[in-house]
Amino acid sequence: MHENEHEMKYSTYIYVWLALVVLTWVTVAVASIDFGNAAVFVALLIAAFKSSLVVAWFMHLKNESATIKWMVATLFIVFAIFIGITFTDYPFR
Amino acid sequence: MPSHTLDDTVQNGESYLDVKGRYTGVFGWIFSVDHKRIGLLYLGSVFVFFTVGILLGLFMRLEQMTMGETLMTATTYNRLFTLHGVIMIFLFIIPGTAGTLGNFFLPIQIGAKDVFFPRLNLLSWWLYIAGAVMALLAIFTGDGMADTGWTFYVPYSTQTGTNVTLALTAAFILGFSSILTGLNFVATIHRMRAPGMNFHRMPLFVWSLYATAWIQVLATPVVGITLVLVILERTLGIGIFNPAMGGDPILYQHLFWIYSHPAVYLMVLPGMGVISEIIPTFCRRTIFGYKAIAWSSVGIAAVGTLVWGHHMYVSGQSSTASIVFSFLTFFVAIPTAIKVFNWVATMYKASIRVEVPFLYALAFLFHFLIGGLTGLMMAAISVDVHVHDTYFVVGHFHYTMFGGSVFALFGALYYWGPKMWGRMYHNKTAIVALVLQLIGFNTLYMTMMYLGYQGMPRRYFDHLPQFHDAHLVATFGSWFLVSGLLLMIGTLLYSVFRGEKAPANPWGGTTLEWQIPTPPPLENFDEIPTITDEPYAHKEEAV
Amino acid sequence: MSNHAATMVAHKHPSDVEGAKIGMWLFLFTEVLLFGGLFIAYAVYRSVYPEAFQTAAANLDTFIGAVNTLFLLTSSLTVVIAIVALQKDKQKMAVWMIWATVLFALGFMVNKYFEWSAKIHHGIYPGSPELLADHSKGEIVFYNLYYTMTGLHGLHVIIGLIVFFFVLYFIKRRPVVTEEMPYEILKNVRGTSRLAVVSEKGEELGTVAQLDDKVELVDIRLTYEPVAEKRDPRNFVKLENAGLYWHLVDVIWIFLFPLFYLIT
Ligand code: HEM
Ligand SMILES: [Cu+2]
Repeated sequence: MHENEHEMKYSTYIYVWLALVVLTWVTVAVASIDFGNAAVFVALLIAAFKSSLVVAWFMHLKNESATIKWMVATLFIVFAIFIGITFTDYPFR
Repeated sequence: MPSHTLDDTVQNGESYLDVKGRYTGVFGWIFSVDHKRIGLLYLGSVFVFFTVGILLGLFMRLEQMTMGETLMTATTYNRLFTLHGVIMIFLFIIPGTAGTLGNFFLPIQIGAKDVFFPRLNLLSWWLYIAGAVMALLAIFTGDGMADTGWTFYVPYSTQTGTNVTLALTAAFILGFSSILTGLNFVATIHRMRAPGMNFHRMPLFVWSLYATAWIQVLATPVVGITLVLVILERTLGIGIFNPAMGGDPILYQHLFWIYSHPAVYLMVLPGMGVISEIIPTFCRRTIFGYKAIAWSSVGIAAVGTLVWGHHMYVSGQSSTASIVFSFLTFFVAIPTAIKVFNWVATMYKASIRVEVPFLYALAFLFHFLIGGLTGLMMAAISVDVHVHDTYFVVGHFHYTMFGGSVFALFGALYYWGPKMWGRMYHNKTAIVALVLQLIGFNTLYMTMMYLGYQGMPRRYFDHLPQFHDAHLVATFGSWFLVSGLLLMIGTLLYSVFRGEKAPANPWGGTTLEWQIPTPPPLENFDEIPTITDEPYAHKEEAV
Repeated sequence: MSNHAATMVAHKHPSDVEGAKIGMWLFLFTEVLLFGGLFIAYAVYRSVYPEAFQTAAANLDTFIGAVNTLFLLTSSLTVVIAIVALQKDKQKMAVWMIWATVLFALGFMVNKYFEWSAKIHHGIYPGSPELLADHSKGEIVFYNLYYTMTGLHGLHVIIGLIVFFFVLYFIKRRPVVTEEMPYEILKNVRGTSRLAVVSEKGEELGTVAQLDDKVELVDIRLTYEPVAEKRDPRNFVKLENAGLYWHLVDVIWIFLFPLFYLIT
């Protein structure tokens, strides 16, 4: 069933894992730097990067069809909309 | 279309109603993974709850017939409208069209033998039953049915002693059932279309189910977790919405409506899909503006996720938010109007064959127009502040959900019933029922809107003297309505068991379900058809 | 087996991997949005109480959080390795890697247990008198969110563990394949037919059963040893889906960690 799919290699995944570990270290390390209000932003940026590594490689989204990629994109757009529009409320109270 | 041979003897497959599987009798139904049987399972269960819901509505109207406490106490009234709302929304209308007719006709209309995950489909019906049983348990255990209204707003829902926790758990499970249906439909539509049926050759009912399915998958989990948060506050004291613990009750409303506004499109989109099937069939010509109607379903679903805050103008959300939501809400009118104009254009100068399903389509248009326009009125903040939480709102949403979606469902049952159970309905009784419904419906809800405009608040068990006459009129209306509904249910039941045998294609429909025998064989098609044309190509035009 | 059996298999398992994947991804979407509601709540309250969130976050143990992050990341790695191993028919390796995943997941839960009990020991749990009396509203919200979100996440870890145990069971057991003969076929052939096993060349290897006209149901069951070349291919799909679920649990933690432990 899956034989015709791309060849999987252990090493690729180990590199990805190494990158994730390094990024975890980075995010802990920069947490002690005072970015002020940008701190959340920096932390989320790193988290977003880490999770895209997991999604693209570990969950092999990068090898999936365009349909599934579009679906994932839709999910994130919808979620961004939910958060974005909620914030037309709270900062303006 | 593969062929236009419409005679009744084309294929010899045994009807799905006669096929014997591993189980027989009731078990042959409740353990069947055939999408058609599951569709009928849904239909049966959904209508049981609909009947209960109707009676609850009738009781509420009877209480309002007089002033003061006559039939029931205020608390009982509160429990009644909560139960009525929960049943009508979660147990009737959300699974009402997608779960029943969607399950039955989606695979057939795209030329497939079943849905993609047949067993998951059965699971979703079982979850529906589990949720329903739990909702019923909530009535008879503890302190009885919740009295919060179907919206379960905090802080009241975290404080009332009534059985909110169980009712919420029921709603959570029902949500999960709805998600599974949606997931299944998306996979089915993407993977199981017959060769040649690209997206732009799908029947419009399928398009509307596709848009609906996405709403089910993407919006339902949000309300799921929201209800869980209320349960957690009631059971473990985790007060995420509790102001005493720094929480914000308005956040509950945001999270609730993030789902529940899209949910109203989840209720009406399949109905619109039905109308898009009925109109070309009885106008005997192809639909006007196919692509516009198809994509406006997606448009409605998309814009529908942006507008939830129009339920919250008086909640205390920021005025910026109210303005943004108001502005966005007006945009929903565009894709909706696109549909209406295209339907009307299809009817224009057509040689229409007037049958009961078509009459229901007209009733849908009439009611939905009124419901939609009053919706636009309330999208304007200034008007909404005036009529918020009055009978105007109650009238409005009954016009859209009931007069719109539910009348479309009724029309669909007359339209597709002959295909589903292979028997015709009795025409005259069907028309009498429709007339009763129309008189009753408009008397009841038009009066409710009038009452609301005069200031009659919703969810009150009693009313002031100046509202009395109108309340009386509304209650009279409800009697006509309920008799029309019961007569219709009787007519349909009679047709299921006693009706005349139906031909394979009584209406001259062009979509795939009309090309197979009546009732359909177990796997729908002997041979998967190859699609070469648009779904509504009528012979007369093709010549 | 007869031609019928072949049709039956083809009919029951339309091996459309893409569709199955769409189903799995959509399921994951619902999980994302389930947490999504909570992330919205977090975002809102953080914007309302920025200082209180920083104070409260400083009281969580970054070290434990970081260790748990590493546990989950590594467990994600062991899952993918298990998947590759199964694909390469290295069943032993796959089983070991799944056990490693289970171990890391348990480690995560043990850590979590100590973390929670320490906090609860200090009187900080939802609705506790200490929390309500000595902490600002913003901090109370923070802890309520902390317990809800990490609790829901922990629940997902536990579900993941159970799923992996099932996968292990499926990989280890002697596979049995059961097919039901569809009734339409059965009703046309029963009466005089018999069910036989036929080799590839068409030689009959033996009669299995006589089908008289009263037979209502035929199940064809095949049991085989899980030797390397003859494993149940469906195990691979099961493991892959379990893996997808597990990675999602990991992704959610990747966000929970900075939001609760780091932004001080
Ligand atoms: C014979 C049919 C029906 C009658 C007589 C009826 C009557 C009523 C009445 C009297 C109320 C309460 C008004 C108030 O005091 O606030 C109500 C509320 C409601 N109805 Fe109906 N109704 C009917 C059918 C339906 C249908 C078909 C639906 C949906 C598809 C529906 C959905 C609702 C909802 C959601 C509420 C609001 C409940 C709440 O306030 O929490 N009703 N209805
Ligand atoms: Cu709305």
